[in-house]
Amino acid sequence: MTTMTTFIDTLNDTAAGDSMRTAAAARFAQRGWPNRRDEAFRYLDLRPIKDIEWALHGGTAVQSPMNLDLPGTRRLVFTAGVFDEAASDALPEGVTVEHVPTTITAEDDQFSSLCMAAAETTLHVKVGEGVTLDTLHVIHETRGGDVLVAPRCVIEVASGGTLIVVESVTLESDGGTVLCTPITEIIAAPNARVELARLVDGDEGTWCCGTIAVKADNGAVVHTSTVPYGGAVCRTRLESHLCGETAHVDLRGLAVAGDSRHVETVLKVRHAAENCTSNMIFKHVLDDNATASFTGRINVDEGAQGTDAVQTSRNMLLSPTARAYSRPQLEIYADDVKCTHGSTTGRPDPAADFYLRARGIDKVTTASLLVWAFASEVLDELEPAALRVEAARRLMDMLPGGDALDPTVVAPQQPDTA
Amino acid sequence: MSLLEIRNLHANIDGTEILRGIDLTVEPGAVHSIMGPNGSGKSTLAKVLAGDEAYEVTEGSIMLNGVDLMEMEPDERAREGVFMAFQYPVEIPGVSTKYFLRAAVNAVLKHRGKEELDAVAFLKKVKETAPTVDLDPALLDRAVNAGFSGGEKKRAEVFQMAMLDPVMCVLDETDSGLDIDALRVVANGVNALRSPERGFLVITHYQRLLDYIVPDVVHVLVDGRIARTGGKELALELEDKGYGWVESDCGSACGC
Repeated sequence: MTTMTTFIDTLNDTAAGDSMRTAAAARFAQRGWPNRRDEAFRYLDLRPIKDIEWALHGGTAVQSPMNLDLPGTRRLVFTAGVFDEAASDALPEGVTVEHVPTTITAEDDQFSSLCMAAAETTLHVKVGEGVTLDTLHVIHETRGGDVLVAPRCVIEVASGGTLIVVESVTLESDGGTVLCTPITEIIAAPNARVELARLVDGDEGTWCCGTIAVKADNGAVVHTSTVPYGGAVCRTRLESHLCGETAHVDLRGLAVAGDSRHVETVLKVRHAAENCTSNMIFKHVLDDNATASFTGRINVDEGAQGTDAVQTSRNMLLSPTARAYSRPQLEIYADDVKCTHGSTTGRPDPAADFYLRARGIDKVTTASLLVWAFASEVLDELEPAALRVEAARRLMDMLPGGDALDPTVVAPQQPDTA
Repeated sequence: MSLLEIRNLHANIDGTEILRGIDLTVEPGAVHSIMGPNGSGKSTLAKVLAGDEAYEVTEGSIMLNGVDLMEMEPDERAREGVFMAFQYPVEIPGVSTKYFLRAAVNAVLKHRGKEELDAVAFLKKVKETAPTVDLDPALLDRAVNAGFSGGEKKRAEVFQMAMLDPVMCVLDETDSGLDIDALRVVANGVNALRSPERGFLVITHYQRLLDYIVPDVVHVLVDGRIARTGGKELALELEDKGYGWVESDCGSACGC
């Protein structure tokens, strides 16, 4: 209790004078750390981090940055939560690092309250009507012990505007735990197009518990991809609100996890207008004692006729002690809707294994190829295109024998382009 | 030395014995055909030769050019020169055919102490080989067998066979599901690969395929054993009289 009280005091001290932050601190104080009786946190054991005396915004640069090679993108670097102007490219017009006094448009949870209470700056991206902004590569790097970092990003894209954002989060623990609670809000006006990819890497002492909140108006198209490469815990809450007709969201996630890592996705897609479509695909490859949980909720409001929602969660287990939990949840109050969900969990297909090996490909390479075959579908859609190769390269680096695979040629062409 | 020597081979799956003592010798350059009724063990024999771990070999030996295959994994056997054309080629979405095949070709070349093919040399070989089975090279940009038609899958199998340059080719009911034109194309592809060093084991249900791939020896497999062996005329006789003839004949002649 005393650790919690001290922590709340620290939050309040740093937030003093800012009503949004103090209100968020109060919300966090009221609810406290989540526990497993809370349905949304049922599979997440938070005990390792509850009693830590967190320092806010400490930490240093990391020793092994992700180094994504994304030509033509604007790099914006945040080191230990602070914008590093010297290491960054010039901010394009409409992009500022400031404090934006808005509250999160989506539903709040403990980690988003915490982020809003702790975040001192916000990366604010405004894309004007019909404007296509340069692709942004937002880099968050933090190394430290018992440090809390709260990156916050608000993306507003006006009618017909287009934006691609890549967020790469690298966390390194240095004699303690790093907790990162990134929130990115995407507000897409009619016919806007937004692509967001969030890649997270970390080690056995890093936790990333973040939120991506999407609001899509008439005809807007928003794609998000979440790829947790590493870290003890990587949790992403995805809140999508389809509030204008024919809006579309595409939510994708891929994780390859071993050791005792835990990967978690809690998503909610709310269809609040007519003829909106949503597509969700989440894949996990789990080895050793890794666990993954997926909770996918689709809400269809009264009157949201013509809704078409497709949800898929697939898990590949490489060890008998890996665990995958999958919970689709549908809540439908309209009558002319199509909502499908499917979930599969299993081992790699022995028939495919035999087929590849019967052609002379060794056991280890075959195993890697099959993981790749399972996972690649999620990476195929990443934007910009250079990110597909980079994401594939990192994935292959994680697979035994994966260095023998060539990420530029291993992926097949899609039948429609062949 | 014989190319392939199978001695007293017994194999079972999930505790059910399927092969009950197979003896079979294939000389270099020879084409052997295995025929037999449903459930006689034809496909099992093919898979056991290729090293499918779903089957348990309880007795017997398989030698290829004097090398014992029994302790070898499927990939080791393939690198030694065994190639099985699958009855049902497996679809593997997410892996490009070209990538997979180059990896396979290079694994075999490396094992033989030959230089591996770079992308250019590999494509050259593809362009030379694809027309022999009338295969559209554009298929190779797609995922392994994914969305291929039945005929495309079988042609792709024979194409892979040609690319991998095996010494012992096992065709597991390659004719099943093919129309007469596709059958001819596939058979021509196989015939083009016949050579004095290479052996073939052509497993088929019907005599029809053997009009195109003319065998030197025909074996009839019944109930996990070779019940009868003869020349290519045996296939015609079977077509005429049916498998029941061999089964009853076998029952009275050898007392098994």
